[in-house]
Amino acid sequence: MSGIGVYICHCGQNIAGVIDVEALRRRVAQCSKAAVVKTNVFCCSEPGQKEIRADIAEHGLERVLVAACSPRLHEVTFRRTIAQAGLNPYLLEMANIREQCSWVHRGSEAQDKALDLILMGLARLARLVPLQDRLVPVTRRALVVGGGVGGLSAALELADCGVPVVLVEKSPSLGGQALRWNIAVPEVDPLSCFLRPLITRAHLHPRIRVLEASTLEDVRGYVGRFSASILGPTGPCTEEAGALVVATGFEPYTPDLSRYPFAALPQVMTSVQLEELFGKDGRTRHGIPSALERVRTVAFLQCVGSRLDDEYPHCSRLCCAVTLKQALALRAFGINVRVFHRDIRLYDKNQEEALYGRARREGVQFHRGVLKAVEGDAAGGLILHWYDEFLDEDMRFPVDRLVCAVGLRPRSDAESLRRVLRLAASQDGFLLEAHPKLHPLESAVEGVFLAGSCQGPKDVRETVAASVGAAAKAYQLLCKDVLQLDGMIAVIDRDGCVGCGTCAAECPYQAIVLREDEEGALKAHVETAACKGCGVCAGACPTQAADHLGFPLEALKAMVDAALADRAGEKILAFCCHWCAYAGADAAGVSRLAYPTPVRIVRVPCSGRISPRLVLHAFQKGAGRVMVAGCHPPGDCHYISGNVRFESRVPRIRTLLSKKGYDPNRFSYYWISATEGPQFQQIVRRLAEGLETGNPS
Amino acid sequence: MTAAAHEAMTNQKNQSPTHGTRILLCRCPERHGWQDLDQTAEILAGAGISVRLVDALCERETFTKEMSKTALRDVERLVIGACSPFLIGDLLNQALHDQSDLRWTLVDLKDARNAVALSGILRSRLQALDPAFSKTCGVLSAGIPHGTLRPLGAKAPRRVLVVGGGVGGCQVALDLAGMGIPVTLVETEDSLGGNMARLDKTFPTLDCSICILGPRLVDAASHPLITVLASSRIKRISGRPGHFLVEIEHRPRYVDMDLCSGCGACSEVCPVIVPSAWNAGLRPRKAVGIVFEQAVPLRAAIQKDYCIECGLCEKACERKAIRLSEEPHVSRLHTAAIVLAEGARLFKASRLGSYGYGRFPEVLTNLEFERLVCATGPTQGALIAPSGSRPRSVAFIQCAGSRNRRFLPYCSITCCTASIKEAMLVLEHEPEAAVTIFFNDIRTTGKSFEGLFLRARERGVRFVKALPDRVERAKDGKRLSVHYRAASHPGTQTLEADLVVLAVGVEPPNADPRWVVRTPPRRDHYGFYEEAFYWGRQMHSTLPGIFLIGGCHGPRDITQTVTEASAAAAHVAKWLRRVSASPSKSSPP
Repeated sequence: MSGIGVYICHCGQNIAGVIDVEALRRRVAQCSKAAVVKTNVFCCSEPGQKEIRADIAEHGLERVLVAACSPRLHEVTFRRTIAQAGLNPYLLEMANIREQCSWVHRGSEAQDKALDLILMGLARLARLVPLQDRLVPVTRRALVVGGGVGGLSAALELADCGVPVVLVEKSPSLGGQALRWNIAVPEVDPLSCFLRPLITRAHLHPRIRVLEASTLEDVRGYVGRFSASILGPTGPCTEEAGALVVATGFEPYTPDLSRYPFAALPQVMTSVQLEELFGKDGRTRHGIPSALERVRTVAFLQCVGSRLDDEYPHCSRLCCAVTLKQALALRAFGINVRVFHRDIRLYDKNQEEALYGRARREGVQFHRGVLKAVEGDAAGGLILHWYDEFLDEDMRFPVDRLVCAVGLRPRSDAESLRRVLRLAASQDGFLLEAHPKLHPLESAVEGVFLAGSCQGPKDVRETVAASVGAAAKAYQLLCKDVLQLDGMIAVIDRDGCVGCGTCAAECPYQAIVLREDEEGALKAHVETAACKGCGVCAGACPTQAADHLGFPLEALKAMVDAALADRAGEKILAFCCHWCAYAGADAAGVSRLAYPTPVRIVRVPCSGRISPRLVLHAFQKGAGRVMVAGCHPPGDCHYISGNVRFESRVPRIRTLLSKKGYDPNRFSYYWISATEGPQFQQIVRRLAEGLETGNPS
Repeated sequence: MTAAAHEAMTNQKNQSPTHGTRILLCRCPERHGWQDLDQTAEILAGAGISVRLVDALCERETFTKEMSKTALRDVERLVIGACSPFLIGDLLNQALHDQSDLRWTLVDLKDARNAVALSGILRSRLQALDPAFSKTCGVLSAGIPHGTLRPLGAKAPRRVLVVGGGVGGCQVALDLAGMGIPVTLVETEDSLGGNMARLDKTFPTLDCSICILGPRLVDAASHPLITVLASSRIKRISGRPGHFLVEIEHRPRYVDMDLCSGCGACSEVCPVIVPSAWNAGLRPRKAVGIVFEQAVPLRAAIQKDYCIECGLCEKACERKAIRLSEEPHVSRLHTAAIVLAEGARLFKASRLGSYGYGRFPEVLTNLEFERLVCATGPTQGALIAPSGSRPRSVAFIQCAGSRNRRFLPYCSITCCTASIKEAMLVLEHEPEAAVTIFFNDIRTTGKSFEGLFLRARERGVRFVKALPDRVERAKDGKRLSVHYRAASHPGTQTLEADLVVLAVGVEPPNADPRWVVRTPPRRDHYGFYEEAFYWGRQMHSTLPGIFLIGGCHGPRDITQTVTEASAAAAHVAKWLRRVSASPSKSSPP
């Protein structure tokens, strides 16, 4: 392996605290024929990168392996490093000895596994080919989905930058949830004064086309060249766009009567319904809502629909502040207010004095504890049965009305929308961002940005900030005519292709067409600009004519061989998709969830890359167990349907294994999302137990 | 004042004052319904000025009707009395910017005490729109803050200054550079990274902080459109919106940045050992060296205060990069916009005398705890109390300084989740430790923060609703004793702890460059930079062209800061477009 440089990272104590990095270096130098094998305290730091570049120049290195953290973190960084030294950036491999080794294992087993991971990486690295990025022309238009305050802000921002925008809104008019919020925050202009001009601007803006009462039915294409099918009142239409901004917002929680039976009582309403009472038409001469004219005491119950241990253990962020705002409005009319809460949660520094302090000064009573029951009383009011935490006592409070401070939930049509947009959901059901700290405005799908509360509960100000931010991200895409895309795509070997068309049928992006070649034979042909590099074609092809340039079959087989070189029968070979399952394994590492060491993870772009022959190969090399893990169907797959394509092959895999004399129960597959570290841990533990007890499953 | 101007101003027989003029007033009962517009209209009618009244100008139908080219066909001077320029200004600009024969201005109807005052304001604004009047007087009326500026001689420079090189500053710089806009990023410390670089892990995912931040810092420093000036502070900002002249003072590092390779040979030989300020004073460092392992730029610097000028570093440096006689120098920058990303400061825990910070070495702040458990910290990541032992009991005290009228009356937002995160880190190191968090409210409101809270409870972290009175030395003389009163329990209880972590709040940024401008950006009554308007202008300061992101305008976590950074980039780009466009004569002064 001349011309290969191996760099083993200490990552401070993250790796070096568990693994004897120097000993590892010596073993790698012995076992492999790498020209250079070095260690570094932080490979990703400037001196670390400099050393790699210097070695490339000095030793004439042609390929580089970095054994450090997850490639999901730093593959781009190191590709750039070697590119700066004149190498093709695709001649890089990373061995994950941190998230998938030092953070979850200990002792000599961790040490052995680290060596295996490096040898596996070298096996792939030797078989990679230099690749070129693709240049894709950009449609310099934007599509904004959702016409609430977020969608409006994003659309106006882009339109002001000179980008033509199509704004799609499902309901008959623009405005979204913000239209329903009538009670003003003290000392602040009403929300409608902010919202109405936005709506008018959008309608009158020369570069915005508003499509009301329209839904997004389908999205095809890829970043720079999306094509959206929209169904409007006058029929379907298609819009082209280079970037999508999703601003579909949230839904207020509707109290589930099985959990909140009292919500059906006439004296009980939600915070949203209270806002409606304050609408223009419902007020008397004195300004008080007519429905509250003879009301003396109103109780607020917090956390309705939120922080529920079993069903929805998430906080909806806004409800405490909304209650305080509403309480102040009621106090202004002389109505007594009691707030029954668990915590009082504010999220903006000014709210402490302006809302909470002021509410207390104006006589709002606060009770911390647990609700026991609510019942109607003979006089038409309510009795609240409450356990008070301070007094450590059960108490009864007679009130006239009860307002349930309902939380924010993802929209009920979120699932179908996610399918159309190919977006994953977080644990709380809202849209999943590319990274919670550093990329909150981007989704995992390139070119699709998240604006506002569709990504998680936000108030209007935060929504506007996020939407304008998302527009800024989209603009960075749309201000250029051409986009540079990854070179890791599929390729078809014309000689091996028999023209069966399986790949074309299975490609989630319709990126493969069958064409007649010079001899009149039907051959598959990849539309390189449309290819997303999932590898489903390669997994499906019966003759192995279709292959993946970044994860070629020979490379995957070589990785399997390296993984199973030693004590194969004790090993669990896990093919994990880059976007979900591999990230889930990383998540287990980040959370330090220890699991048995015999598992060896082979990263693939998508579970759809896995063909029956590859699984067979692993068993032929003696693997104790083989598992494949991908994204949860139907909607989580980064490549739309790669996971279900793989699933459809499972019966054939089992049949093939049986035919060749292997127990099909030694093969299993799972769906693991990027946040499911614990699940990954459980699965590996079960499989390892099975290995030990001899029990196949 | 010239005679012509005087005449224009006092011209009683202003021929046909209503010819070509219009005053349009919007009632907007929700906002300024108390303003008696009918009376105003009457008073103005008495002066021969006609007034049009509408109910809601911003309503699409009304607006189209009143602002269309046909509707304003014969109007040369238009005074619109409506709401704030921050609410309706963009809409007016969008609709009227291409009507070149129209001169218009906006009056906020909240700005007058009563109808009489209002009518006076409207009249004078109408008069000021008279080209004869404004030309001779040369008066630039206050105008709408965001309106197009008076024509300037020089073209506005296409460059943005970002003050502060933390995660926010780097993000906004990268977003601006991504739009093709050149950026100068100024950072007072020797390295980029700010507070986020000092964290061990970030909530709620417990990602390694510097691992996710490091590449961003390298990206920012290596981007062709971004110039990083570390070890520099803003000395003075003068000029006016769109044309700021900034004086930047460069602190000497005593090392040639172009020659230094970051090898560390200088610090190996330096005989002077001092506390590392970057590590909150918990770890020693040499007087010369690189401030932390992943610093960007990765170059050495000498802490001259401690330097004894022995010259050993000079001899040890192979590249001859030491410059002991370097002087501070000042450079100047001409910039069209400035983004303030200086972050917030930590509240000084020693002000809370009863908690013993500064008296007991076992009392730390959140940030000091982060440095303690971080692999690059004083113990290389081992959780060892300053007393030298492994802690068996750790107590976190929330709201240390925050939500307290004597100190910081506001909530510092991030401390609850930060402490819960740190509690999880304690258990990672010491699975058997007893961890207690004393709190007022647990405010884990961000996405997935509640999940972290639940996980902490499941792992056995104890949450006690009580803010301790005081921390004292325990009877055994070794541990600490936390005295508190829980609401539902009579009397004072004590908890023995080996380590007490104070969740101190954040204060507004301190160093304020000398603003030599007409109206420096205002600070609110807490001292944070004030936002220009509640709706849609959170990232605008009160001075046009100066933008705010992150901790400098209120306590923020990383996600919020990064979001604001991208939004601010959009606002800055919009501002640049406006100040570099040639203003048309139709725009109001």
